Amino acid sequence: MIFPLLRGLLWFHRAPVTWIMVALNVVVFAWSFPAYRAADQAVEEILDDDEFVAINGLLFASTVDLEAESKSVRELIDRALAGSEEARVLVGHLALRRADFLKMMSLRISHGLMGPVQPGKEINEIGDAIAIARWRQKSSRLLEIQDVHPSYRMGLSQGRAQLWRWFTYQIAHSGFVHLFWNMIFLLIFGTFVEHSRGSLAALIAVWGAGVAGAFAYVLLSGLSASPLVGASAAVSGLIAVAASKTSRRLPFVYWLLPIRGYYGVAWLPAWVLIPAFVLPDLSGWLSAQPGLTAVAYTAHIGGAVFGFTLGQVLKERPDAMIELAKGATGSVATSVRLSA
Amino acid sequence: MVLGNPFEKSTNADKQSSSSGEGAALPFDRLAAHIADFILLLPIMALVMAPFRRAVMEAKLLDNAYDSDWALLQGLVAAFAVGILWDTFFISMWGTSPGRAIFGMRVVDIWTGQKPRAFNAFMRSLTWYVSLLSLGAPFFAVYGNLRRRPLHDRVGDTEVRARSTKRQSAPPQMWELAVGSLFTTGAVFFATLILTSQAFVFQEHARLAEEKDEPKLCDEVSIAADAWEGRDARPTRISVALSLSSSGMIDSDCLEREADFALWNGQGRLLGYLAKGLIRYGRDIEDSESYFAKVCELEPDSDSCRIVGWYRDFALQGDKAEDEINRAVASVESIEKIGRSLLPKGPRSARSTTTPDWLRLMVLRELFVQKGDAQLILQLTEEPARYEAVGAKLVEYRVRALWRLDQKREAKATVWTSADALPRAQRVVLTSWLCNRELYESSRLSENGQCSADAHRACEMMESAADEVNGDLSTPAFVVASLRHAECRVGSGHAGRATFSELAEQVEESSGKKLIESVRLLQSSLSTQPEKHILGLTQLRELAALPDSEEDMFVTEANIRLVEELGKRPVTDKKASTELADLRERWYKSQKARHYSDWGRAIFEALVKRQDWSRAAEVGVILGGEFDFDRSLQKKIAVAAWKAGKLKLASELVDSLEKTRFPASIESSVFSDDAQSDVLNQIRRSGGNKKTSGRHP
Repeated sequence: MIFPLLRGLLWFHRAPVTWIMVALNVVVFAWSFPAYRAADQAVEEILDDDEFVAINGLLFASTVDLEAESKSVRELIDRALAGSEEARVLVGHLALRRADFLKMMSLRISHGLMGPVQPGKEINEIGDAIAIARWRQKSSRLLEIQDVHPSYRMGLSQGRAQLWRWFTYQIAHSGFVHLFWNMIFLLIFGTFVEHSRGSLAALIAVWGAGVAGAFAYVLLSGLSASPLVGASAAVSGLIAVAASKTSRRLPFVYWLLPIRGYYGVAWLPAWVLIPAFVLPDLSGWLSAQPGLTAVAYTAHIGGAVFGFTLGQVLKERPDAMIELAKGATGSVATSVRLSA
Repeated sequence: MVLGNPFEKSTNADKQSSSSGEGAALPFDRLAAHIADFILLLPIMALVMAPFRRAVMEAKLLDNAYDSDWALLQGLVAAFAVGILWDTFFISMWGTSPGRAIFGMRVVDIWTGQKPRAFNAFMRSLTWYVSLLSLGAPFFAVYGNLRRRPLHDRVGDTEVRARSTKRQSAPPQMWELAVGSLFTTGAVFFATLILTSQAFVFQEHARLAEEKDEPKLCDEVSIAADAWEGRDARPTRISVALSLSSSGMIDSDCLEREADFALWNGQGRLLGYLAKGLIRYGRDIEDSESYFAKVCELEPDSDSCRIVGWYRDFALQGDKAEDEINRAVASVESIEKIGRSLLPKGPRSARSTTTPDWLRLMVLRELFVQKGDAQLILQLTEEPARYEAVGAKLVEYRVRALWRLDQKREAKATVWTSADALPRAQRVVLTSWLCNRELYESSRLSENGQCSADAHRACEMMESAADEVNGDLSTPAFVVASLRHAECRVGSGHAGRATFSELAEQVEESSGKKLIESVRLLQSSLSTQPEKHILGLTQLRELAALPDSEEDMFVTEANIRLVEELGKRPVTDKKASTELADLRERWYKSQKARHYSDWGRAIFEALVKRQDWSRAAEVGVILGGEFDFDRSLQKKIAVAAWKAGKLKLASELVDSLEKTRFPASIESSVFSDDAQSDVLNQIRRSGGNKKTSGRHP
C-alpha cells in the first residue's frame, strides 16, 4: 500500500479555498440529505418492482436500434424477447440509465409518435397493453421524483445540462461514503496544490477540472438518465496538478509488511501518483460495460488531463517544498534512508 | 540451468561476493521488494487486464460461467505476462527491479556474479510466476534452502544478494529449513487441491455451457409445437400453450411466459391477452377483466371473445345465495351453448374442423368442472386432436363422461382400446383412474373377496404402464390403487401376502407403510385370528385420526377403509354407528382431500345400509357437487331422498337424470334393490310438489 502523505497542510489558514470547498460540499450534502433520502426511497420502491423493470426492458428491447448496441446487450435483448425474466430485468435497468428513455417512450406511446419497431409493426401493435399502462403510471411517478431528487436537481444528466449544472454537479454527492472519500482526497491534494501553487490556482484547478471532467464525460460516455454528481473529477484534476512536476519528490506513506522497517515514509517522484491514481481510471473505463457502471471514469480522466496541463502552466512557490519537507515529515524524513 | 546445488563447489560468484561484501538477501526484504514491485505493477496489470475484465463482466451479465472463467484465465495470463516482462526487463538490464532497488538488492548470475542474461532472467521470472500459483511456495522456499535459492533461482542460475551487510541473511538454521520445507510442501499441496478443484469447476462450466438451453420458453410447448399435426398452417406457440394449459399439461408460469412471448413478439396478441386473463382469473379479477376486455376490443366477433364473455359473466355475477344458484345454472347453460356452437355442422363426411384445439379443450374443461351435459362432452370429443398428449386428454374427458352417464361398459371399452396408443404418462393417469373407480365402486369386491375381471384388467394395465424410473410406483394414488388390487389378488389366492411387503417397500411415507400394514392385518379373519384383525383396525383408527387428512392421501384412504369396515357391522351395533357419525363429521371438514368423493361415497353406502336415509340424502347432496358423480349414484341419492321424505330433492334429482338425454330407460341394476326402478317411477309420477310424505314407498 502506498499513499501520499501531505501532512502539515491541513490548516485553514494555509489552504482557505480548499477548506471552503470542503465546507461547501458538506453543507450542500447536509442540506439536501432529507430530500435525497426521501426521493431515494421512493425511487428504490419503484425499482424494486420487477414487473415495472421487466416491462421497461421489454419496451427498450422492442424499440432499440440493435445495430448501435454491443454484442452482449444484443444477446440480452434477444433473451428478453424470448422469454427470459432475468434478461428483461437486466435490460430494464440498462434502459433506465439510457438518456431520456422513460420520457421519450411515454411520449411515443401517448402521442402516437411511434415509428416502426419491428418489420411491419408499430409500437402499439406489440407488447402487453395492460402492463404498459401500469408501466406508464410508474414511469411518470419516477419522472416526478426525478424533478425533486437533489442529484437530478444539481447533477448533470440528459435533458438537464444547463451551464450552471456543470458547476453544481461538483458539489452534489450520492451518499455519505461518496462524500467522505472525495472530501479526504480534496483535502489532501487541494491543500497541497493551494500551498504550492496558491489559492487562485487551486480554485481554477478545482472548478476547471470539474468542468473538463464533465466535458470528457459528455464527449466519451454521453449524458445518461443517471445524473453525474460528485467532486471526483475536481479531485482527479488536483492529483494531476500534484503529479505534473513528474520528477519532483513527494512524501509517501508506504506499508509493505506489518513488520518494523517495512512501513514508514518515503520520498518518491511525483509521477508515482499517475499509475497509482490515474491509470486505474483508465483501466476502469476500458473494462466497464457502457451504461452499466456507477463510476464516471471518463470524468476522472478529463479532470486529470486538465489538471496535468494546468500543472505545466502554473508556477510553484519557491519555498513551498522546503516548508513541505519540514511540515510534512520532519525528522522522519531524514531518519529513513532507503536506497530508492 | 543448474537444479542441483552449485555451491558445493566454489564458483566465481562466490569469490566475487566475498570480495564485494555482498550476501544472500533477507527473506522479508525479498518479500517486501516483491510487494513494492507489485504496487507499481498493479495499475499496469489492471490496464492490460481491462479488456478481459470487460469480457468477464459481459459473460456474467449473460450468465455464462464458462466464458467468464475463460476470460478471467486469459486476463490472468496477460497480467502474468506483464509481470514476467517487467522482471525480465529490469533484471536483465540493471540486475534489479524498482522494488528490489529500494531494499538494495540485486539478482546475480551464480557463475559470473554479474547481472543475468535476458534468457536466464526470463526463465527465472517465468518460473517465479508459475510457482506463485502454489500459494506463496516461492517465498517459503527461501527458508527451505541452504543458500536461500528457491526453484526460480535455480532455474535461472541466479541468487539474490544484498549490498548492505545489515540486510544480509545468515544461512538458515535447521529448524528454519524444516519449517520452510514444511510450509512449502503444505502450500504446494493446498495449491494442487485448489487448482484441481478449479479445473473441475472449469470443466463443469464448459459442460453446462454446452448443455445450456436458451431461450427460456417452455420445453413442453416447443416439443408439442414441433409435433402438432396440422392440415393448415403451423399453429402459433400461444395456441399450443393454451391447448396444453387446458389439458393441465403446463403450469401458469409457463403459460405466462408464452403469453408474454406472443405479445412482445407480435405472434398472437389475441390469445396472449386471453392467456393472461385466464391466468389471473380468480386471482386478480380486476386485472383479469382488463385483459379480457382487451381481447374483445381487438376482435369482438371472435371465439376468444365469446369464451371471454363466458368467463366475465360467470365472474361478475352477484354473490347472494340465491344468485349463486342462478349463476351456477346460467353458467352451465352458457358454456353448453358455446360447446354446441363448436359442434361440426352438416353430414360427417362433409365436416371440416375449424375449431382450434385450445378452444375445444377449454370448453370441455369448463363443461366437465361445471358438470355440464355429459352427452355434449361426448360429441365434442369425437374429433381427434392434432397432438397425441392433447388427444389423451380428450380420451380422458370422453371416458369420464361415459362413466358419468353410467355407460360404464363403453367407458371401459374406450380405455381398453385406446390406452396402448396414449403416451405413457397419460396412460398411467387414465388406467389408475379406472382402476380406482372399479375398486371403489360397484364392482369392488365380490362376496368371496375377489375383484371383478374388469377391475383386474384396469389395475394390471395401470401397473404395467407405471414406471419406476419416472417415480410412478411411489405416488400415493398408485399405491392406494395397487393396495386394493393386491387385496383382491391375495383374497383370491392369486398372490401371496408378500405382495403387501413388496408394496410397502415402494412407499416412502410412514403413513403409507402404516396403511399397508394395517390392511395386511385386517386380511386376517376376525374369527380365526381376532387379535391381528383388531390390531389392524386399531392401527387404521390411529392413522385415520391424524390431522393431515387433506394433505396425506394415505390418511384419507385410512378413513375410507375405516368407514368400509364399520359399514360391514350389523345395523344394531351402536358403537359402530357412533364412530361412523364421527367419521362423517371429519369428512365434512376435509373438503380439500383427494378422493374426497370416494370417502363420501363410502359414508353414503354405510348410511344407506343402516337405512339412515336423512343423513344419506344429506351426504348425497354434498356428493352431487363432486367431479366423479355419476348417474348410478344420482339414482341412489334420489331413492335415499325419497325415503327420507325429501320429495322435492328426490324429484329434482330424477328430473335432472332425464335432462341428460340419456337414451336408455333408467336401469334397475344398481342399489341391489329390485324395487329401485319402481321407486324412481313413483318419484317421477308424484313430482316434488305432491305431498306424499308419510307414505314412503
